[in-house]
Parts: sequence; C-alpha cells; structure tokens
Amino acid sequence: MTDIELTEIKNWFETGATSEVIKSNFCSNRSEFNGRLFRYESLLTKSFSNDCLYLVSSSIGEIGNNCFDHNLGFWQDEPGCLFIREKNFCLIGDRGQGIKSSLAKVYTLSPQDRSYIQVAFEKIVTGRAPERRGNGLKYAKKNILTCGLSLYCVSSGEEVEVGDSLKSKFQSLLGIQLKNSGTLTLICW
Amino acid sequence: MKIEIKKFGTYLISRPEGRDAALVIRNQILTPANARSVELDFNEVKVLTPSWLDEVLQEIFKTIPPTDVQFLNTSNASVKASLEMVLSIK
Repeated sequence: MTDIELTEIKNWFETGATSEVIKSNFCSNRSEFNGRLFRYESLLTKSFSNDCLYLVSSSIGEIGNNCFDHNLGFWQDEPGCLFIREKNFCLIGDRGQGIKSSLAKVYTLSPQDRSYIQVAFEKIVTGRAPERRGNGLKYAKKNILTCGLSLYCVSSGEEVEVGDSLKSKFQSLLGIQLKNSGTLTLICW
Repeated sequence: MKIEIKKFGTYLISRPEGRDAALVIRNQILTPANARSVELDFNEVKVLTPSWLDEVLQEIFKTIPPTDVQFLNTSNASVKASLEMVLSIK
C-alpha cells in the first residue's frame, strides 16, 4: 500500500472521509464481505498450505462478521467494514461502537482484567447477551498462534496483540494513536 | 438421518447464514419420524466458523441430545477447530 492510501485509511477510520481506496475496499454488508473473503483464497494459497489456509480464512471471517454482528444500531455513519486484502497482511476495520462499548453493557472488568479488548480475545463473554455467543475472537486468536501469524487490534483506545508484536508496524503504518471508538485489526504473515 | 453440510455451501461463515441453515434443518429436513439421531457430514466443506456452526447446533440440540449427533468427515482444519470450540462451551 502507498503512503497516500494509508493516510486515506487513517482519515476514514477517524473521520469517515471516503476516498477511492476506501470505496474499492468497503463492504456494505456481510454478503459483500464474505464474497471478498471467498475470492481472497486465491491470494492466500500462495502463503498457506491447506490447514492454515482454511484456519486463516475462517478467522478472518469471524473478525469481519463481528463488524456486522456487534454494530447494528451503532454505526457512526455508513454501515459496513473496510477489508484490505494484501499478499502478506489484511486489515479489517469498522466505524462502529467499539469492543469496549459493546462488552461494557454485559461485563464488568475484574481487577485481573487489563482491558475490555483483552477480555474479548481471552474470555468467553458476549456483547450480545442473553444470546450464548462470544467465541469468535478466542477462536481467531488460537488459529493465529497455531499458524504462526501476528495480530494487532485497536478499539476505543484499547489494544491487544497476538503473536509477534505488530504495534510498531501498525503505528508506523497508521500513526501512534487513532482517535475513534471503532475497531481496526491488522493480521500479518 | 444424514445431513450433507456442503448443500448449505462450502464457505460457511456468518451467524445469519447459520441461522438460516438451522431453520431449514428444523423445518424441512428433520421430521418427528427421523429426528431421533443425526449425522452431520462435513465432506467438501472448506471454511467453517464457530459462529455458523453454533447457530446450527443450538437448533439441532433442542430436539436431539448431543450424544445422538455424530460428526462425519471432519478432517478439514476449520471444521475440526470450530467443532472443538463450539462443543467445548456447550
């Protein structure tokens, strides 16, 4: 990605400003996201053998669909998620309510918890109670580690890392602190 | 009763799609006569998520005890991992 495109992604996340790179990678609904994920397989096959190919696709699917599952009624502007698909990384982002706001409705942090985003990736707690849900991010974390990938997720000023640290890479790409409640997830391999 | 999951697609990702599949299974495939046990056949499924699977199993387990549900052809890594995740929290 070029520096200009990265700036446009940052601007979109913080302000909702659209541009060509945003329009061409924006999924207005989950069917569009799932279709792009299906077509991403041809690129992913260059990096992964069968087992990890399907585990990675499945994990990206969980993270992308979370954008739609947890933000209905809470979009800041146009509903949907940004899905950047590159050879060695993917970026999934939404301008929704954020993990903290979603989880805080049903879960109170204990002294052992570092943050809501950490809870989301490590505990079976759902932001959609009373439905019995909330295993998608734990599943993604397990697969990311199994396949030797790295993940960095930022939401509402909170962050979580899985695998090798991507924080400095993320910050060099998109800046030190993004100002928005929405969620951005970077997965690298 | 055997249900071929590939007939719902080979990329089974979202909860709403899983919910739709669950309703079809409940209303059109499982009948009082055949709903005593079920085999879920994952042959040719490429990508499965816990979200899709959870919706389907929640519906099936309402009428068929988990001990009477069998899972066939689960060698695909995402099928295996999703089953482990969903069944571990049931």
